Amino acid sequence: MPLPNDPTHKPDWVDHGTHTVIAPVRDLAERAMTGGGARDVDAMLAKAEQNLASLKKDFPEWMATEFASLEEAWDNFKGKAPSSKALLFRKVHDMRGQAATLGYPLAGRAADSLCKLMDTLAVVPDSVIEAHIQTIRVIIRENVNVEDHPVGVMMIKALDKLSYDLIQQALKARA
Amino acid sequence: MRVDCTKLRFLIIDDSQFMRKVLKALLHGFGAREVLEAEDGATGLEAFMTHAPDIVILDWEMPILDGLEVTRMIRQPTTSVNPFAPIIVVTGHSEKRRVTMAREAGVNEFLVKPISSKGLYDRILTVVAFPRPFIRTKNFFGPDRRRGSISNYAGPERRKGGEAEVIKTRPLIEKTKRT
Repeated sequence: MPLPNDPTHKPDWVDHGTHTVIAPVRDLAERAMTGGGARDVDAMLAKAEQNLASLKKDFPEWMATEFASLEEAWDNFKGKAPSSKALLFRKVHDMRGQAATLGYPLAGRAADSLCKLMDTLAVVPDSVIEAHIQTIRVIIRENVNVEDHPVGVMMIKALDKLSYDLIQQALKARA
Repeated sequence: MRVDCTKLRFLIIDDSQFMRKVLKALLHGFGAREVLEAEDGATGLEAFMTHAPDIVILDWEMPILDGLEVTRMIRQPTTSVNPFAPIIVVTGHSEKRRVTMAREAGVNEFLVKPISSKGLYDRILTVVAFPRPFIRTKNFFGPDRRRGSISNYAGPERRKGGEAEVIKTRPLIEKTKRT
């Protein structure tokens, strides 16, 4: 079996007929691994966290922009624009991943619930999508940036139950 | 031992400008100087072919080409500038099924958002200091998907030869002593 066409790299390899095993490429380790203890790593991580903290003042504005983009995708989906489902899913996925990083963990959980639904069900009722979008809207508008906000938690639990029931129904119907 | 990120060139491929900012801030915190960005899969692939980054950090859900499609193209042994390039997927997807899909595409490491500096650094450390062997089969080229040894696996794609082989390479510690 021929080797990959990489002129800069000639790795050790073993051909087993059905598969070839190529030895780990260690050029990055040779170039970038350096001395230093846990304290150096901690200092590096602290610097990274400090950089992240310096962005935090912009997070509410970023979240508002991301949510506007999600709402637009939702509006297009309701209007059944072409390829609108894929776009909506992508925006929900973005919200699912980014919300907690940007300081809105409960918005991330609402998006997580919707993402799971869209990933499992062929058709998610519009009213269910709207309930999720509405929850995210309220969380951002009220600047709920803690994980244990009592009303926020109650709303998320209701969405989780709704999603769980719908997914169970769909799985039963498939069985 | 730590990773000296000043010696590495990173490429971030993410359609969210905010996530690119967050990732860049963390990488700069690690000391990285060369951090390239692309806002979709196609642009990212072009940047990969042009700049040959050392490590690719990419999102899963993106327009034009998604993260797994980009990964498969990077892993093309005959056309890619570096089919061995470490790829770290940073995504909101957390399902086991998704992790498996990413591995099947040739991803090295999987990082579920929300992102933390430690989570990202640990993935970078893993791909730099502990690279896995690459496997080439009829329909796969990428890092070894075996993280553990499942002795009773009897599926159709079980590699003939049974035992996972080990190719001896000089341990990193010896290289450290040398320098």
